[in-house]
Amino acid sequence: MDAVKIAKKDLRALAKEKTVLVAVLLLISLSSLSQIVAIGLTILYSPSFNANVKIGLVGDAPIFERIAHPVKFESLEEALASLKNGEVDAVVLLNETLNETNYIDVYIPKEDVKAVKVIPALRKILMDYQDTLRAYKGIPILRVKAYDLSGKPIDVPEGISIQFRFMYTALIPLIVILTAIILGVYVIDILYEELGCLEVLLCCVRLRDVVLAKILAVTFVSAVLTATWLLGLIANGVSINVPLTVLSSYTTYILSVSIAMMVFRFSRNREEAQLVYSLIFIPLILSFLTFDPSPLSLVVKSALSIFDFAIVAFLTIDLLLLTLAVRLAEFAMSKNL
Amino acid sequence: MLKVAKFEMRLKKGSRKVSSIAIISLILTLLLVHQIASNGIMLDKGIYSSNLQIEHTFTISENPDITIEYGRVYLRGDLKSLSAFDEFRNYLRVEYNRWIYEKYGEKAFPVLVNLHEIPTEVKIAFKSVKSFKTTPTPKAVETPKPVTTVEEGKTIGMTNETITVPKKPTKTEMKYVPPEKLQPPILLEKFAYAFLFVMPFYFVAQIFSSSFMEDKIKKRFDVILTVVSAREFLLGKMIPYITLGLVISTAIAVIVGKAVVVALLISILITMLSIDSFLVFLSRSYKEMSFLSVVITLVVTAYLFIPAVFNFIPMSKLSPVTLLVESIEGGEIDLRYVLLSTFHLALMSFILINLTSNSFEFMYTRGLIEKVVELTAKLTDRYYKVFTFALVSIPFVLLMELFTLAITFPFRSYIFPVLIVLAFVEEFFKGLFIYASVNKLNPYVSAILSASGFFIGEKLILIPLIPTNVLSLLLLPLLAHIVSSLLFVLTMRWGFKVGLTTSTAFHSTYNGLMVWMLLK
Repeated sequence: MDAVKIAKKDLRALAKEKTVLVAVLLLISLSSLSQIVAIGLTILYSPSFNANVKIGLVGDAPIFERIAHPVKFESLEEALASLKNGEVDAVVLLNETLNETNYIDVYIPKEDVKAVKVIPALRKILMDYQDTLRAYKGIPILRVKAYDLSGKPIDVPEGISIQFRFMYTALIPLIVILTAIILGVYVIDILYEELGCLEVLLCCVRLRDVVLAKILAVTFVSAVLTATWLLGLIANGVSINVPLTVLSSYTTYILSVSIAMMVFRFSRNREEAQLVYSLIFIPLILSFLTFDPSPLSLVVKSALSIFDFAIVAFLTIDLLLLTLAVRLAEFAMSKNL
Repeated sequence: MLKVAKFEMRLKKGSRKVSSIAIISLILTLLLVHQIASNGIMLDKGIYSSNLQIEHTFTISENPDITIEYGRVYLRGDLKSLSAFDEFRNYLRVEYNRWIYEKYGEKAFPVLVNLHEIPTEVKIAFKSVKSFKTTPTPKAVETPKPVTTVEEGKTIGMTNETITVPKKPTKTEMKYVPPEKLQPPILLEKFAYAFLFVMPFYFVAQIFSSSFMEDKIKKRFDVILTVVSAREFLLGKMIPYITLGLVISTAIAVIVGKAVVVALLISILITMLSIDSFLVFLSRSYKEMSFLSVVITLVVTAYLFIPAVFNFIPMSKLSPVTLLVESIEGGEIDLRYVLLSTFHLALMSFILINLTSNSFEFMYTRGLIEKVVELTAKLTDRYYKVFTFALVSIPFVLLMELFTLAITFPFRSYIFPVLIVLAFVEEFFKGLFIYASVNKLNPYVSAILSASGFFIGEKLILIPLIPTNVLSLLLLPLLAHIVSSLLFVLTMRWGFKVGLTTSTAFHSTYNGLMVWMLLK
């Protein structure tokens, strides 16, 4: 009970400082990033956005003309002038040959939103052109078509996996890392806060309760933050497996909090503790990106509803570490008396 | 200045334990960054599933994302299965290219494309392209091999990334690639790397700000400022951290292989250090400082990273992260953009450092808002200063506006509330300089100066980024800025908030009308 009281005090102080508010704001803005990115990508890849691209052609290319229906120009200067005026969106310089390789020079406006619209359209036209020439030479053509489960053909946009990857393998791990850092820094803060008045406090409560109170407070904050970013992502239309993701994100959180508590044991003051914590946490997180399974790769899989037994192993290690960290923090506090 | 730096180093030296942890951490970080840069991030292993064994990202599952049967690919239709198909299609193209190259040789690649980007305002491009007209046909190709790219640019087997053509008489290096290699200018894949590269600087800034706050709380300023000037103290204090930043950014530059990375990263670091020192001036306690510091880190992160998503918009080049990602991606970076981006950050840092070093006298007194007004009042005692401050406040205004846009993004379909918030940010800055100088200067003159300074600053930063034809309609926005500032002066006798509300109302109505007319 004493632990709960102390934890409540910590949380009240936290609410007063508005730190949680900021953290919540941070996570909301990060989860809306998924939407911003999705829109950016839709602009880049959307077929409707790419429609009506006007292509100018300089040179003699009958097969290409049949595919692209270009506007013909006599000279490159004329075509480029037209490109600059915006009358055409791209200029193709091509003298078609059926026996050798066709080296095509394509001119598009630089640093212009228009280029974004032109490239995907050009890509499609030129790939069709390539297929036609290959067919003419008797080379088999690769056609990959997708069907839904009832057998109807589906048009899968090129590059859709980039958006998917960004959301699940970059954004969600990033949010988990940030939450873990916030929790680690927070636990160091509240541990040092208590040091000042520990002597008075210990007349009524046990040292263990003080440390447990800190863990309770962190647990509460972690729950609020996790709920925030999960809701943020869901509100922005990201489908996510909630129970598994919560479970796997706690493998990183507990690790971060345990490290912070251990660092508290070995540091002389708050400043040094936060420095050492970040010195340990940066390489640790980087290492999580380089092997699989790691706590972060588990987060990615969990968000996609893939269960990996490694979660159990990581949670066990985490709990052992946390027990050790609690002992160390207790020891550090008793030493400070 | 150097003495202060030495003092800071001595203060930060700490125990041998901490120094050795720092060294080990730095070495490990660099090794890991190198590992990530060369092998990629391993978070995507086994995320897709199929009914057949394909490659390492695909696992076999009973409810697979893609089902391959009798030469057809079946999908569930959700985002995951669509993107699994997209990656499977890319994988097939790579394999197909390799197979047809082995079977048919060069003739399997009848179309090779070279993309030229024509700058819309510069005419140099004309000269270099003219000569192509005469020799468009046979071109010597050095070992034409099919382009096969697996994710993260790894190549398979004997294949090459691109087919290079020997230098032409025009001295233009050209690259011909198969059409499937044409990609929209998209930087997302390297976004995570940029974040990893910028992250260490957040920590460096964090250590700086807590050390600076310690100085404030322990009242070390009072002693030190008797021997050195405030600016010297501040810059001296920053030197060790900038040096550390230089070491980190040089290491990153070596890993990435681009020298320009150092300039970009250091400009980010210096901005963060200057912002943090200003925050220390504003805050009364450790807690208040960490609160403000988190808010500002958030704002700066939005300002730096969001533009990189929209890198096809010229405006996005203002952020060094856009350029950073572009250089990691391997593209050529226009030096003008590097200058523009680093210069505007340097300007912001310069202003913040000056503000902070002018503020030591009332560092310990008053609340947050009072401090800002008092500091502004101290600095805006001449008409030309009102003009200058309004002019140089633009990068800060942009910073706040971008953050506002990011936060209000889910409400983007309601454009008018967003316009009100943007007008509020602009009017706040303009009004601040008028309000703070009211005791010393005529407010009506200040209003006109503040509005025109603001207007000129706004256009100066946008000129290099926006097509020139937009700039022809300048008179109306200038008038609107002046009118809104005069409205502020007329109503500020009832308080800053009332003035701000009136001017915001006018400004957002004007913006709304403009948007409405454009949409019409």
